Amino acid sequence: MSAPSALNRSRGTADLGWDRSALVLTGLSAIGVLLTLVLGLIVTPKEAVEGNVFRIFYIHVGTAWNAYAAFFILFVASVLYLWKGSPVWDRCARISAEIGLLFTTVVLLTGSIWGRPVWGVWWTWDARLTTTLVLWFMDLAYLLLRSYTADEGRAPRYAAVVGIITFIDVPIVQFSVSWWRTLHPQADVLAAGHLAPSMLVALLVSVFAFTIFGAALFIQRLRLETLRDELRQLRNLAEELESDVR
Amino acid sequence: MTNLWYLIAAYLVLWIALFVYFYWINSAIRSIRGEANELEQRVQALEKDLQSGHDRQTAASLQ
Repeated sequence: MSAPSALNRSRGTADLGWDRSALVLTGLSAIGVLLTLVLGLIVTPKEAVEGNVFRIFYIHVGTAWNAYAAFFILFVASVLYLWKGSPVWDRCARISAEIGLLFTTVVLLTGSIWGRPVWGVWWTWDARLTTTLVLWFMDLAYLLLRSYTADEGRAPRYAAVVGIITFIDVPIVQFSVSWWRTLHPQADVLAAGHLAPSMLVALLVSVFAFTIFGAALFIQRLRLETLRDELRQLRNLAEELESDVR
Repeated sequence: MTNLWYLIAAYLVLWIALFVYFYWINSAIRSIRGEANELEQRVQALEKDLQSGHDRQTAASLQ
């Protein structure tokens, strides 16, 4: 008889904690995002060669960084799942893959939109673009494997292996601009003299804001999965009680 | 000036994608919470039924 009330109490306390952390992170990311918009669109000067379109850089790099971070979490969580077998790691891996897909999609789209006025084409089979597209497809394969594999016991293990393989592409994406001749600029924006100080500040603020936003998305998504689990428990409990009453 | 449209398009793509995902998560959370509250009420009602059934059985066995 005490099961549902214990469930209610733990749900109430956990919800408060979730709400607080989600609210703080969402608030911080909203401030960061507003600051990114002001800095990126108003404060920073127009780039000498590319003009205003260069301002895409501030969101493109910030989202790319978040995609890398999501794939790193996918890798760590997949390794930990294979090692420890805890469903928590599997859940973290799945959520990271989802967030990674979101940010990689944004990176590919903003990159394509930026490429059209600068390179004259929407898409080219450049090493950086191609390896990023491969990363996107691998991540999509991971999520499809999770959705369509009926075997609940084996699916997380297969997916963890795919998750680890997916992450191997991240350093290839990063170093592709050094290993091959590419149209895509080198990733040395932090080197002295490459960016005006105000541009560098806008970039760092954007990376920070997107990181916080990514963390807020991760926490909210984790909360959604936890609530789904609790709902499943409640359904089972209700079914048991109904059969007892009958 | 034409390049400005590319800039606007890139920022729109980003914010629409992030907003849609964030909205989807939050609306799913709201709907699950609603369903969980209904289920909790049903569980409590069933517990009461079960308890009163037990009480009646005990009273009958004592008589």
